[in-house]
Amino acid sequence: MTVHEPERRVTDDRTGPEAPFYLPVGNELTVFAAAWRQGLPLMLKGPTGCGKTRLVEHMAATLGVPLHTVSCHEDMTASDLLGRFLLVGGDTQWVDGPLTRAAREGGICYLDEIVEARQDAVVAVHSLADHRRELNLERLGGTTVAAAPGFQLVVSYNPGYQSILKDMKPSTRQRMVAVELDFPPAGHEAQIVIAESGLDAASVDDLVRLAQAVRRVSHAGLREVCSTRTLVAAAQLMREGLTFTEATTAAVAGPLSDDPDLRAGLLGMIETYAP
Amino acid sequence: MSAVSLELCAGAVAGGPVPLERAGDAVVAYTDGGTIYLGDGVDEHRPQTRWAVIAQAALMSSGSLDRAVLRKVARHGVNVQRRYLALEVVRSCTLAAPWLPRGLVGGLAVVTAVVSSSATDSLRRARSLETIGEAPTWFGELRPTTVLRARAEPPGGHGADDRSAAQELLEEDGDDETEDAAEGERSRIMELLSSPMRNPLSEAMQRLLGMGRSSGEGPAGAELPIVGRRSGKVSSRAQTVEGFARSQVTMAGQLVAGATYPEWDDRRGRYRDDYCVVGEFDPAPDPESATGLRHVPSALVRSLARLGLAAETHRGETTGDGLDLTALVDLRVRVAAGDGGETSIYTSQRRTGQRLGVLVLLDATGSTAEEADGRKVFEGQRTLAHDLTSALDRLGVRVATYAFYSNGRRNVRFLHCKTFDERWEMAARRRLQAVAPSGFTRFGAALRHGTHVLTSRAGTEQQLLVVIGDGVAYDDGYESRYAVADSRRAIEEAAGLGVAVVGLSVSTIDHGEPIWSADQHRVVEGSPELAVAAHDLIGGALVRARRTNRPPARRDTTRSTHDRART
Repeated sequence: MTVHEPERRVTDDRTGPEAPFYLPVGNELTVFAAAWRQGLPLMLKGPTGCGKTRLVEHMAATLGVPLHTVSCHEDMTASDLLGRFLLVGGDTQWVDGPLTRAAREGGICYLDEIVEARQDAVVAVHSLADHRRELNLERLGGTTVAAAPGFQLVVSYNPGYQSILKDMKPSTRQRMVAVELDFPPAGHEAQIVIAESGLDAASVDDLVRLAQAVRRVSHAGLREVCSTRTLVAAAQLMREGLTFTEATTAAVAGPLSDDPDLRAGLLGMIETYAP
Repeated sequence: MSAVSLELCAGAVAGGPVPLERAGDAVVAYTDGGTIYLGDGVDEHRPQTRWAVIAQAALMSSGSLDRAVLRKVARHGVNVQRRYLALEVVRSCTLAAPWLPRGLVGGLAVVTAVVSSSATDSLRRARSLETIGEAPTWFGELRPTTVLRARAEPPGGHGADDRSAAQELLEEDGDDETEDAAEGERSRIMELLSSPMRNPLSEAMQRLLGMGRSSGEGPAGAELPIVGRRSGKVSSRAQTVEGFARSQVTMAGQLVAGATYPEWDDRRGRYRDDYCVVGEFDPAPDPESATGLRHVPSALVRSLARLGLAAETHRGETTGDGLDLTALVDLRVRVAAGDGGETSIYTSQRRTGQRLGVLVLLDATGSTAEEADGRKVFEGQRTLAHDLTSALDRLGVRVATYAFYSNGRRNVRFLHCKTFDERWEMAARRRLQAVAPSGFTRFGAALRHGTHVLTSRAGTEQQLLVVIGDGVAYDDGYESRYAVADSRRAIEEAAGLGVAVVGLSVSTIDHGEPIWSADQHRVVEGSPELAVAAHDLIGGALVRARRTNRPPARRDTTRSTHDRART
C-alpha cells in the first residue's frame, strides 16, 4: 500500500498543475466531487485499464486530500485495513492501517479491486461507509475513531472479473454511490494517449482504430480487451522509436493472449491496421 | 497472416463472429449475409484481401443486405448492382470508420465524395445517371440472389418486431422465390404466428394458412406448439451459448427458466438457429418415496477427493514455508503480555482449494426404462447419480443434479433435483427419487443447456459435466447420423468453453455409432467401479479442459501460482 500526500490545496484552482492528467468522458468528476463533499462512499466500476485509479489520483490531488491506496487481495484481513499492534523494542505499539489513517486525517481511502478481498475483511468498512462515519477499533480497546471532514471511501472493481463466488455483499454495495466507467470514446482516447505519450496525432489515430476494432471482436479467448493503458504503453514504445507493428505486438497482442492461433490472428489484425 | 486474423477483422467490423470459407467461384470475396466467401486463389496475406473481408463484413452490419432493397437490386443488371455495391461499401465503411484502418477509409474517396444516407438512397443513386467511380477490386462482389436464398440474418442485425416481420415475410412470399427459400419462409411465418397468446389476427392467419394446433408436419403430437422468447440472436458460432443470461422461455403455457439453443445440422454443415427450447421444471414431488439416508460411498469419496484441487495458503500453521506475520505479531504481543501461547505462526501451501463445479446430468428418457441383465437401466443410473452427487457434496464440491428428457425440439425438459446452491438434503434426494423415465433424448440441446447452467451458475474455475445415460440420442426428427453429429458437436462446444465432459453408462451400449469418444466415456455398474475409473476418466477430462483457452475464469495474479501448482 502506498500513501500519497500531495500539498494541501491553497488556491481555488481545481486542477492544479500537480494533479495527474485525467480527461473526463461523462459527469464522473462532478459526481465524485459531490460525493466527496457529502461524505458518500464511491464505487468505481469499469474494465481494467480504463482509468479508475487515475481518476482517484486526479481527484485526490484536485481536492487536496491525501490518498491511501490499498490493493485488495484474498489474504487481506481486517487488520490490514484497520491497523495492528507491532513490537517496538520491548513494547507493543498500535500502528494505524490505511483505512484508520485516512479516517483520522480526512483523506481518501481507495480500495482497489475490492472484490478480491474476502467479504469478512470488507465488512470492516461498513461503519465508516454509512451515516455513522466512524470506525470501531476493537483490538485497540474498543476505541472509536470518528472520520475527519474530507474523509471518503472509494472502492473500485472490474465487473468483468466478477464470478458468482466473488462479489461484494449486498450490504456493502448498497452503501455506495456508483460511477460506471468504460473505455473512452475514440476522440477522447486519442487525446488521452497523446497527452500521456506525446506521440503524433496520426500514429495515435492508428492505435485507437486498432483498439476499437480489437474491442469489437467477440472471441472466446479474448475477454480481456485492449485497454487505454495498453494503448498508452504502445504509444510510449513508439515514442522510443519502435514501429507501429513492433510496439503494438509488444504492448497489445502479447499481453492479450497466449493462445498461438489467437496471437497469430491479432498479429494479422495489427498488420492490417499498420500505416 | 492467418485465416484467424481475417475472421477477427470480419468479426470486429460486423460486431459478431463471422465465419470465413473458401469458395471456388468467388473472384475476391462475397457474402451470403452470414458467411464471407473468399476466392480459392486469393492470397490471404495481401492487404487487399483483408480490406475485401472488412468491406464485406461492413456490408453485413450496416443494412446493405436488407432483403427488401436487395430484392429490387437483383432485378437490375450487373452494372447497377456494381454501382450499388460501390456506394454501399462507401456508406458501410463510413459508418464503421472509427474502427477501420486509416488507409482503407482513405481509399473510399476514389468512388464518390458523397456518402448515401441509406441503402435505399444508394439504390436510387445506382439507378441514376450520377457519375460514380469504378469500385476497386477489394470491394469484392455483391450477390443479391445468394443473400436472398441464404436466409441468414447478419450478425448484430436484428429483425423488426414479430408482427411486422411476419407481414414482411407474407409480402415476400408473393414474390417468385426459389422453392427452397419459399418453403423455409413459410415455416418461419408459422412460427411467428403460433404465439401462445390468442390474438384474433394470428388466429385468422393460422386458419388462412391451414395451421392447426397439430399441423401435418412431423409426427402428430410430437411437438407442443410453443414459442420461445426471442432471447437475443443466436449466432452461428458455438461460443455464444455462454451469452445467455438466466432467461425464461414459455413451455406448455408456462413461463419457465430456460433458453433456446441452436442445433447442428450435419447434412447442411451449419447450425439451425434458435432451434431447440429447453425449460427447467421441478419433478412432481413423490412423498411416498422415502429414500432413507443412504450412506455416502466412501471409496468414491476417496477417489474423487484429489480431483480439481488447487493449492491454498494456510495461515497460522505450526509448520510451513513462510511466516504468518499477523500470527507472529499476535504471539509476540501475548508473550510480551506474559502469556505463553502456541507457536502457530507459519504459512503453508497445501492443496485444499476446492475449485471444482460439477453438473450431474441424468438421462431420464424412455429408453432407459429398459431392462438389461435383469435390472432396470434407469434405476442403476439414478443410483449412480445419487452416489456421485453425495460423494461430491461431501467433498465440498459445488454440485448440481438435473435429469432430462425431451418430446420434440421445442420441449426439452430439465428436471431440477439439486441446484448448485441447494443443500443435498432429503428434499433434493426426494426430487431425484421422483424422476421417472419418459420421453426421448434430444442429447445436443440437453448438453448445451447443461453447459450453460454450469458455466453461468457454478462460478468455479474448473467445471465438469457428467452425463449419466445410455448414450442413445433419439427424438422427433433427431436420429442416427444427424443426432450423433449434433451430440458430438455439443460436446465439442462444451470443451471449447473449457468444460470437461464425461459420460457414464451402467450397461454396455450397442446402439450403432457412439456419441462418446473412448477417453470420455466408461461403463460402470455402480459407484465402486466408478471409484476405480474416476481418476483416469474425470482427472483426464479436467486436464484436457484446463488446456483449452478458457473464457470466463479470470483471476488475479495471486491465483496464477495456484494454477501452476494444480495437477
